[in-house]
Amino acid sequence: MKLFRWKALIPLALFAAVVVLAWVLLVDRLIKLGIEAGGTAVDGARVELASARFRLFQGELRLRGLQVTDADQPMRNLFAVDEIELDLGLRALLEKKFDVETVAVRGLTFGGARKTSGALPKRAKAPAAQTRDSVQGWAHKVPIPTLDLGSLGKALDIRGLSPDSLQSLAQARALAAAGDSLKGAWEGKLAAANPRPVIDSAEALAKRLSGADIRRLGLAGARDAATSIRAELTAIKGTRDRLASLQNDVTTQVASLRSRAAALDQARVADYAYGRRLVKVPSLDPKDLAASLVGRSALERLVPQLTYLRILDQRIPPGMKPQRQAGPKRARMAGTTFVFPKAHRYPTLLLEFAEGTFTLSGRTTAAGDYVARATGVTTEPAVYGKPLTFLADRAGAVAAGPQRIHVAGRIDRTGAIPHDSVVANLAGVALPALDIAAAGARVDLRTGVQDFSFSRLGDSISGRWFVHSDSVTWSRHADSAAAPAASAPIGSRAWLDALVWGAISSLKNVEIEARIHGRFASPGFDVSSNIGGAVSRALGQAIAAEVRRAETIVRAKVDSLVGQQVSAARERLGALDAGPLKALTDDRSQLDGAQAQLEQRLRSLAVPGIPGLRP
Amino acid sequence: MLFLKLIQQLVGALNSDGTPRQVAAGIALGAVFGLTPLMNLHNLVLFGLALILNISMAGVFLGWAVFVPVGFALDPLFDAIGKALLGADALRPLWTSLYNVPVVPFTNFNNSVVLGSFVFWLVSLVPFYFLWKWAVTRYRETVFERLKKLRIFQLVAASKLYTTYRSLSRFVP
Repeated sequence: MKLFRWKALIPLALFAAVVVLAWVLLVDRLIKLGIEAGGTAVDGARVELASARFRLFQGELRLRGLQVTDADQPMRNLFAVDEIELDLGLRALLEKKFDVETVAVRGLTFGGARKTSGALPKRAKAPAAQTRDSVQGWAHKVPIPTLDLGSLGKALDIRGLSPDSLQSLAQARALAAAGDSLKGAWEGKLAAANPRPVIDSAEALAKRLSGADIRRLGLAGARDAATSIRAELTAIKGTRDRLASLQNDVTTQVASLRSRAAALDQARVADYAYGRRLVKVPSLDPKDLAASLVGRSALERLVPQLTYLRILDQRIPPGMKPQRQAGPKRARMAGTTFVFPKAHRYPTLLLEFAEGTFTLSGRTTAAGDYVARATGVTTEPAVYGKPLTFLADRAGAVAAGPQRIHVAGRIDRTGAIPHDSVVANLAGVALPALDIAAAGARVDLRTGVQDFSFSRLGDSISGRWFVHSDSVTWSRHADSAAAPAASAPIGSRAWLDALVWGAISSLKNVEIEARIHGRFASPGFDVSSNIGGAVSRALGQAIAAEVRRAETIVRAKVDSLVGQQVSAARERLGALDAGPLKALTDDRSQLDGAQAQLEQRLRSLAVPGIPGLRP
Repeated sequence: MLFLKLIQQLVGALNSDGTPRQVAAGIALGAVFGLTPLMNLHNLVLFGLALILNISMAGVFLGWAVFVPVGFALDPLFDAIGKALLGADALRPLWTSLYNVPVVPFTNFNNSVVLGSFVFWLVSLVPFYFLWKWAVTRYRETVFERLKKLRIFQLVAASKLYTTYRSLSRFVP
């Protein structure tokens, strides 16, 4: 029987022709569907493409009518492009990779309205949307203090201040227990390493040889005595080394306990603050007040930027480790698709260099002409070996809108540790209006300066949002404006509204600076503003005495609850100094004394040139 | 109609002029189209191979049809096999090389279900061949002789579709 049937070459050729025909007919459609599906997965909202045209032998891909929905506003586009023309490297295409050699973009528009909603069905929540939810979740957990003066003018109820909720008490108990445990452990070890037999033996030998010399002992007796002395000295050295090692360990652990004892003072300060919050004694610290007044609004400004950084983190992982992605959607199970990056090869997607100008039309904050440049845009920076950089600057004469817009960034994922930095400076931009809920007021920042900056190194991040305006206008909510402030009792809502309004409404310039810092996954947040300073001064004048009285009561209560335990913990620490550490020092001192006596005896027996008795 | 066509395909394959070895080889090779996700380069190559090798094309289509539901049912197993292979540190240099060789990435070997199902098929290829060869031989010796006498079988065999298939199968055995 023949292995091949050569007459099947005709059907095979026909089959190949069908495959080629299918490619010609369907490739553009498949590219369109691929871009839409991939873009939708990344964006978390609908990405649509009017048409795609691919010319294999020219390595040319032309995309028309690209619309990327803003996932937060499904009736608006994040951006839309009339036409994108890409020149692709054919060799990279053979490896199923996209090396974009040149790109031309025409008709780029940001933030345009959509005819239909670009929202995805709820059940198909994209990873980007999950990331947004995760960052929102973090923002909701950030503790923003509320400005509550309800306790003023009343007798303070401090019964709710429970010992179990105080940090310093728990830390003092733990410190005392650790001190006891350490003392017990070291006393056992000291007993095991008891140097007394060695000291006694050395002292007895020194006493026996007191006044002895070579004439009295004879040559042989002197040699025996010298040998005994040397043996004792060796025993002393061994014992002293053991004690020195023990003393080092004790000293290290005692130092660790001392640092914990020092932290007790900080814990007590935190307990005072906790007590103040619990009984609603207001803080007069300008930072606390700024957080109460504008903290939530400022935090919301940082949420989108943090979200983009996290999406970037997911999409452009650092290093050369294989990456795992969900497989393509199909009737069969999607599975997991692995990407195996290799240095000095093509990354899956690479845009080496792009530069151009574009215009943002309309009357938005960002409207105007721009010059932009990007290098090293790739999905696998470690393969490409260079960081992604981008820059966009406002260009040309400015007739209206922002005076200056500058955005620049560097995303370095070439090594195992990501190192990213992004800066945006906007001057003369329309700034947002902020609600000051504590005063029932609203501040319109109008125009001013707005800066963003983020820096990320490994697992740590620092970010800043800064806004400054010299021409703010203030307004009060209708219900607050009608409140009878003058007759309102101290600490009441109406009284607070009137006091805060009086402090802030005269401000003509406003500065707000919000910072995030710490771990990338869950950064800390703080905010400062001259609004907080103004309110702090006004509150200080109005209620300083009242606050001091309340603070004194809270401090006394905290001290009464934790004072005894903290003292006990410090006593335990002192007992370590007086116990094992003192015993070790005494033992070493006695060993030194015995050693000195024996060495003196050995010197008195020394005779130069005689073996066994040489000095 | 579809069911009738499937039956005809089954009957056609099992009773075609091909030897049990050709039919078994066709079924074993055709199984790959059912077991692995279809739209991948390796299936295109294997289909070309099926055309040019002297095996039963009816067997190929039968194997394809029979193993489609098996493929769907075993996808979780294929996924696990694929993940184990693609995630193995010892094999990483191999996958990295293949991933960066022209054309090979179009096989989608780096997808866990594709690799898992392909390896499953590759390992099963020889056992499948011998199993199907034995089954076809036994069928022709025993069952087919009895089936031929059944009226339903005669009706199916005489249907227009079956007749068309038989006439075409002369060009592509």
